[in-house]
Amino acid sequence: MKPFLETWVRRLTAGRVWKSFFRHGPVNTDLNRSLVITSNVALHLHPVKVRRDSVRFWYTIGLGGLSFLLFLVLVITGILLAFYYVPSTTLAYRSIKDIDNVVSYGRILRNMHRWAAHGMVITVVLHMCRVFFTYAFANPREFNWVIGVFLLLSTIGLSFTGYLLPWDQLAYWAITVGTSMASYAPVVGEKIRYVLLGGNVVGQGALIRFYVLHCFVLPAAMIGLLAVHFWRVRKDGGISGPQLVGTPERETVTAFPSKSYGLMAIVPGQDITAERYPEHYVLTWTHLIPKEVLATIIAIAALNLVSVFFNAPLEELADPRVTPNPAKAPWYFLGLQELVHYSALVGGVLLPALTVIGLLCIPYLDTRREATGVWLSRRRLVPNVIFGLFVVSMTVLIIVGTFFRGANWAFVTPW
Amino acid sequence: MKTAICISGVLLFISFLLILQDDFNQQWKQVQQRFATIDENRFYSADGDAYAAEPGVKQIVVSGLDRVDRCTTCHLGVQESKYAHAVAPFTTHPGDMLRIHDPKEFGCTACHLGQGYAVSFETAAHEKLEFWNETMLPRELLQATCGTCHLSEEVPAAPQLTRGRLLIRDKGCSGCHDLNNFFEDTPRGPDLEGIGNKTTPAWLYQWLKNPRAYLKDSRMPAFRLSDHEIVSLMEFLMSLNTKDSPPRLIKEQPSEEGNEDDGGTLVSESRCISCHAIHGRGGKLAPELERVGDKVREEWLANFLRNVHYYQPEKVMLEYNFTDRNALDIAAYVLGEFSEEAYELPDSVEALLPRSESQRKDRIEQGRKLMAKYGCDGCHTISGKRLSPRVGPKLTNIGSRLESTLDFGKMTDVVPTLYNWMYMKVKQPAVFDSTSIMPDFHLTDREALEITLALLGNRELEYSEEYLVRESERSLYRKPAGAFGELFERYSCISCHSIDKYGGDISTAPLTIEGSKVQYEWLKDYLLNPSAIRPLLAERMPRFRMTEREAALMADYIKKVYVSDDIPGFFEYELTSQSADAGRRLFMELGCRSCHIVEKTGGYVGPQLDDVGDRLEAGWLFSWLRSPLTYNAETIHPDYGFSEEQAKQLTAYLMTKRGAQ
Repeated sequence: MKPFLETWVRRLTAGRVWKSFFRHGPVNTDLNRSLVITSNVALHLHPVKVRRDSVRFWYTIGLGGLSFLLFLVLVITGILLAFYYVPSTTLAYRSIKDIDNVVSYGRILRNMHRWAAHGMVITVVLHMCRVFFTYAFANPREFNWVIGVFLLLSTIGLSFTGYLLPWDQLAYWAITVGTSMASYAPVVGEKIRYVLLGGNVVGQGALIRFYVLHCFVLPAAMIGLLAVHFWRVRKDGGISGPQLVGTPERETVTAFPSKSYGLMAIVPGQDITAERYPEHYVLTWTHLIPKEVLATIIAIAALNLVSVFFNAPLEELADPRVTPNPAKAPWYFLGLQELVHYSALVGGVLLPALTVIGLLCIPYLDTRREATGVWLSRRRLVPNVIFGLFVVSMTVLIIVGTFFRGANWAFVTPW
Repeated sequence: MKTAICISGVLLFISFLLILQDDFNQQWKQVQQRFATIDENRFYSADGDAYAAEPGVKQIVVSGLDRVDRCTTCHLGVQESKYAHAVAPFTTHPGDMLRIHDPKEFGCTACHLGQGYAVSFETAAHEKLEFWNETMLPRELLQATCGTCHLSEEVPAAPQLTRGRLLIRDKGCSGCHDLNNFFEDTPRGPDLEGIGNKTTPAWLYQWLKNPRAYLKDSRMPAFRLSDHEIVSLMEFLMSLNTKDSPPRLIKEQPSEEGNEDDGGTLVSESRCISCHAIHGRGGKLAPELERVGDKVREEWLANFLRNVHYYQPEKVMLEYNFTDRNALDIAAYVLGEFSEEAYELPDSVEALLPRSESQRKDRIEQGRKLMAKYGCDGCHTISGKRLSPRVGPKLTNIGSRLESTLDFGKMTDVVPTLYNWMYMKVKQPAVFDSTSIMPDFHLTDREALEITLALLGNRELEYSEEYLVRESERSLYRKPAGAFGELFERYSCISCHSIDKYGGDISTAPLTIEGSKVQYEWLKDYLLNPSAIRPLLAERMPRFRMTEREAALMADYIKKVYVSDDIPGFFEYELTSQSADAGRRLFMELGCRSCHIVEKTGGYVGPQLDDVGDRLEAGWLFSWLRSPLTYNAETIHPDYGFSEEQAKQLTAYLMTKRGAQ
């Protein structure tokens, strides 16, 4: 039996097809060992070795990775949903009803897409908070923070454009309210809204624009930005961590003759930081990949369970004549809508504009270069408190807008 | 780490299994499996229809009604009679509605509502489903959706809907609400100009407080008015007293001149009771007169009787040719006879009355505003004009109202469906909101249900025109031209008689083909001096006191214009005495006398026939006997299926029945 199996394995692995998949032969020579590394895609997305600090779960909480995972889920489920969805005001709602009722696994797919989308907004924001509170955007990572801000905007843009597509009352009025907040900007506000909607009201023009943005433009932008974001992580020497202490001398190739990663030593440039402070570095394959696999499994299992038991909302067919009271924007804009209730200029223009500009400027203003890679360092009390207050107050406003506002935006208690 | 990955891997596997079973165990799949157990030939229908041949989701796409109905995924037997006694949901559709409305053309949800896209009991909205507006209609309201396509007022196959629509018109809902065209937009109550001359403040007070205290079948609904509001309205109404110069103004003082006894004779002679009920007996067309003496002023009444169409431009009541004397006599009689006790203002209201001219002016102004606020002018115009647009919300699309926008107020234990809301609202208008200005119509449960049902069908949906049924059963009434037309209006013929299905239903004789039916001489005499044709009827033709010239003119016109080409003329020689004898035998054999009086004996159900030969045309009798239902769809006269010969014999016999004999 055993020789038979071995014969077949040998035949299989010796074939052209197999060799086109896997470039290395049996792992029995240094060359092949090195080929295992150099032809492994996971070890090209990641460095071969990563800092011990950065793979600690509670340092990153896996938020960046989780965001990327959810993005992948959204791409896959989104493509499947797009097979059924028709971006027309007369057919959109019906196609969602079909997906929910009669497309095989359609309801689950839509639920996964919806919950993953909400989840991604949350994980992206939390990822940004993590980066801020660990001062991970310090030099040389300022630009990656800027990319991250654009990724956040893309995420919100994707969520917002996707919100309209079901063409139900919830979608229609959330977008009506959301886009009317844009129109509060002086001079250009109305124009911006007109361009966004392809008209003065939410209609077929808006639906097709949102559809194109949601399915083509924003995902393409997202992928481009993600590529830069990841590439910069590698170029900036992996993710951030605290100041290293210990023996900063270079390792030589001969120090680890049996370890194929030693081949990396012949590569010049920042990548060979792997060779400094060897006691602070661990192998990606054994220390990071299993954690990522575990996180992926748990995240997908959780998403599956949520999607089986909780349905994505779908209200009545959109009716421009019937305004729900209150009409609410998507939840992540409810903090702004709450502010709009007090001052349209503050909630609709000043705060969003200042938030984006502020976020973009943070790494260039906050440049003291100390306590990088440390959660909530006391030496960074002032920036942490300011940023924390901002996040908490936005969260409180969103919670108030979501749960404590009823008809005519009057205060209500949800219980 | 390996353990953690293994455990979570198992979890992931289970979560995918859950997803698989979620799809695999869908309700409709189980239902179709159950169907297989009751019928081996499961998806094969009797005529080998391929539509039902395969298991799977079944749907009917009705593009004209913008619907996709998947109900037949589970209701597999609806179209096949062999499942008449099968268990739900496989039962055959009851009744023969599907023969008129083929499901392939109409689907299911256009009539039943519910969510046609869905394939489970819950999501199909058999019961209230959140975010789905069209909850399936309960049996009692099933006719509501007929009204969405059937846009003519009367839908014979949907009696509840028809009754509901008639009720909506009768209650004058369109006074306040914009409704579909077929709920005619005519004022329901009298014009109010001149009401200050007509009645007294005390009567107005109690009437505004509660119309039913004066008139128990009052059409006017009860507004929940405060005494303050009533006083303002009262002052405003009493200020409407300018209409006091009718063309035939009576100069004498009424009470001195009126003779009650003569008035009484005139009242019974004029057959007032045909339209006005007195002590619960009589016609329903006009207001009951039981306590009219406590309401109207005597001089106003006398002037009214002399100038009916001046006071009543809509000309429902006919213009009697009363003299001043007659009018004064009747007014004296009515005020003496039809009264209980004079109305008086309560002291608390007395105290609210304006003390000065400026206070009065304020009150009048407030009253005018209240009139507009409560939309009184929806039913009562003032000098033919409305003060304000309709005060109620538009109801042309009320059946599509989003249930999530309904305000149930404090009624939290009601299932929040539209029909529940509407039923409660029409039954008790202030039930959800005590500040509602909608008045109380005192509807019975059945009336409220029928109105709810008729309103539910008011939906502006994107239905294709080919599905809509618009033609009305009623043709439009046009005033006849010339001198006849003037007389026709003066005597308000159309209030009691119908022409081409338009008009009143008090008279049993439509005028459409009256000229082919009755003889000229008889008609002329009848107009001058109507006699009872049907002894049992309380409503009789009034005595108009018209001149002989007028009667001749009207009879002449009717004989020439209101005729049917289908009714043959007869020559005398065709009606021989032999055939008359044969007719008499037939008449006696069939026992016609159980309903008709002939030779002084017989029943009272049908018209007496002793002078029928003077009254009816032979051609009419012949045609009627051949096919009574052609001429009156509601007649109880049996159709004996007479041959032409038999009908001719009976006609010959009946034509010998002349009063002179």
